[in-house]
Amino acid sequence: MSQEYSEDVMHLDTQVLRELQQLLGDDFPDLVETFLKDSTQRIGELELTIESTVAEDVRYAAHSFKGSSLNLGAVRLSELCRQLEEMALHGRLYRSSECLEQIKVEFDLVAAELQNNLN
Amino acid sequence: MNSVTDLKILVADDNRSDRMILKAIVRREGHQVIEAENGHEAVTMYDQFQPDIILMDALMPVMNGLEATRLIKSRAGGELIPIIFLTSLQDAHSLAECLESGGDDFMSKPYSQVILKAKIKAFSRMRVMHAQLEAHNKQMVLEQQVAKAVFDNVAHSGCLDLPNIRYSLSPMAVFNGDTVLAERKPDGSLVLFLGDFTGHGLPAAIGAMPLAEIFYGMVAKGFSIEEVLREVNSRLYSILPTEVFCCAAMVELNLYGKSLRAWVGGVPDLYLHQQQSSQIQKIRSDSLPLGVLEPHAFNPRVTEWPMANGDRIFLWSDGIVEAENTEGEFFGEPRLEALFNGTDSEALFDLILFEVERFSSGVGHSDDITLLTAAMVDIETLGMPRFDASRGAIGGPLDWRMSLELGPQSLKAFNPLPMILNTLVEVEGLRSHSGELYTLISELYSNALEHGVLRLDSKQKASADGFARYYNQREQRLSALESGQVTFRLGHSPEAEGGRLTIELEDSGPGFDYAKANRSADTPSVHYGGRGMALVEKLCDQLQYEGKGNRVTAVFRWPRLESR
Repeated sequence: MSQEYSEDVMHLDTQVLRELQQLLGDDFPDLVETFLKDSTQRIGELELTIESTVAEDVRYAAHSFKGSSLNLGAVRLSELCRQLEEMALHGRLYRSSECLEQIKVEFDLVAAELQNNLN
Repeated sequence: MNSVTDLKILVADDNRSDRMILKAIVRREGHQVIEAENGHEAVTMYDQFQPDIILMDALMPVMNGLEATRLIKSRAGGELIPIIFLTSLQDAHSLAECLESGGDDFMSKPYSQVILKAKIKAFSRMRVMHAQLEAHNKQMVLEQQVAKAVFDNVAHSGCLDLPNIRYSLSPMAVFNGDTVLAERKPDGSLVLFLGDFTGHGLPAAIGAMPLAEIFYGMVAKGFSIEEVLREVNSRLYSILPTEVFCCAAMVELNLYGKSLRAWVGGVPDLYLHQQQSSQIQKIRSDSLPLGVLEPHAFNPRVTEWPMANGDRIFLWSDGIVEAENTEGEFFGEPRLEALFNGTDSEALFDLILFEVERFSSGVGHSDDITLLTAAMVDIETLGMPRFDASRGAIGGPLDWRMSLELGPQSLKAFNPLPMILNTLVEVEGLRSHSGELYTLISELYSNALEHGVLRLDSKQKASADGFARYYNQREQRLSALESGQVTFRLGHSPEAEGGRLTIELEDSGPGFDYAKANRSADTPSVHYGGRGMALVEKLCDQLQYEGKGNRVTAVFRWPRLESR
């Protein structure tokens, strides 16, 4: 289930990052910072919505995080968000906290790698 | 021309990092970026900046992408504003929903530079083509409006507003090729025309223009309906493409003779409603439509019918009989015919329109019906036609003589009246009397031909059967004519303040005893042709029979005095 794709799916797609770096040039660090800040906010939002057990809100937040992380090449993180979105879509929030924990862990990994990349 | 650079592209996404990426891609392609954070802001930015293309995230707070798209598309009206949805929605249902709200395309995350560039280029091209299409459409609508104005002037001039005429013509006639015309001959007779061009749209209606010109010109000069039909047929034959022709009917109401001459080619049967008996005479179509036959193969068959005051002739296109109701039934001829039962002549026109409208309500337009009707009345009800006296020289020829002798072949195939009238109105002082002059020469000529040369007995015309027989006989005798002639001798000389016109007709017939003849208007006599003589006497200053009675001279002076 949640651990299904851990071996096959990468934490950060370096190809995507390289393209972004080329695209944004000097603005690339800005992008990374924006993503990290917004993501932290997004995780906080997920915590609140899961607590409130309003499935629709969880779904929207997960969906949004899924999209932005995919754009940054954080494929596994995006996949985890998709799972959470799926759960919320069907109203099955009983595993949601567990999923969120995994998301947090994954995000920390991604954040670390992104920071490395910048240096 | 338009290159795909420097477009204004609106990026609507609630995710900052996503926006940044898109912005970078779009800028790199040389375009201007406008940002919005939610659907509501997207609409505001659209109103303010009028972007060329919109990249719209589907799920956004405040107002989502679908709602914003609906609003923007409705504000855009006829303009094409391409909206590309940015979405990581996967299921077909959601994607379909995006398109239904007005979206034109998708792009999924992660955003690809290459793909976005291609989409922007494609949609920009589409936008340009769309704008060209809009411009062409606007141009076409303008042209159609002008065409309609010209057509209305042509189709609605003439004397359709006479008190004894009623008609219904679709306001969209210019686009369905229906034409209705009416004009007076110089002697006051009324000629009506109804035409239904095949085909649709402007090309079908264009044929109506030359047709109307010929109709008005020739009828006003006194040409017979056969002559007008021949000329119209020739013109339409030469200018219309093979698949376009004109189903039509033309009728002439002779207000003095109380008769109807009719030609029907391709339209539904005309109805001649007789007021006294409440009977209908159906005048059937027995001719091909106009513009089909080559000129020398076109021989219009005209039938003659007695028509008393109060009788009404109805002409229509197939729109009435073919009107459909909601069940797909046709109005049909039986229903139409039934309307005439026991209905007063004057009420029929409104009744027909009302019933067709009622039958087809909810389906199509009942104002697409083309219907023309006229009642027989006395000339006094309508007055004599006024003609344009502005043509021709000042003064004109004042002292002249002319003679014209017509042998059998000419009598069969040629109507001399328009030509003679045209000559007479060259005299300026006679121009305003063209109606009286035409009536005069017409009556004298028809007497000379029918009673003198063909020796027809006008007593026959008193009954309905006799009427048909008379005209049959006329046709037979004329086509079998081997010898005989009618001679016109015309002369004009100036007098004090005006002039004196002499019209002499001589025919090769046996003449009659004019000294003993009864000149009462109500008793038709062999050589007087009934009403004709009383009328002729009223019109001229002097009328004299000479010789055997096969020669008559009429004198017409101008200016006319009230007492004459």
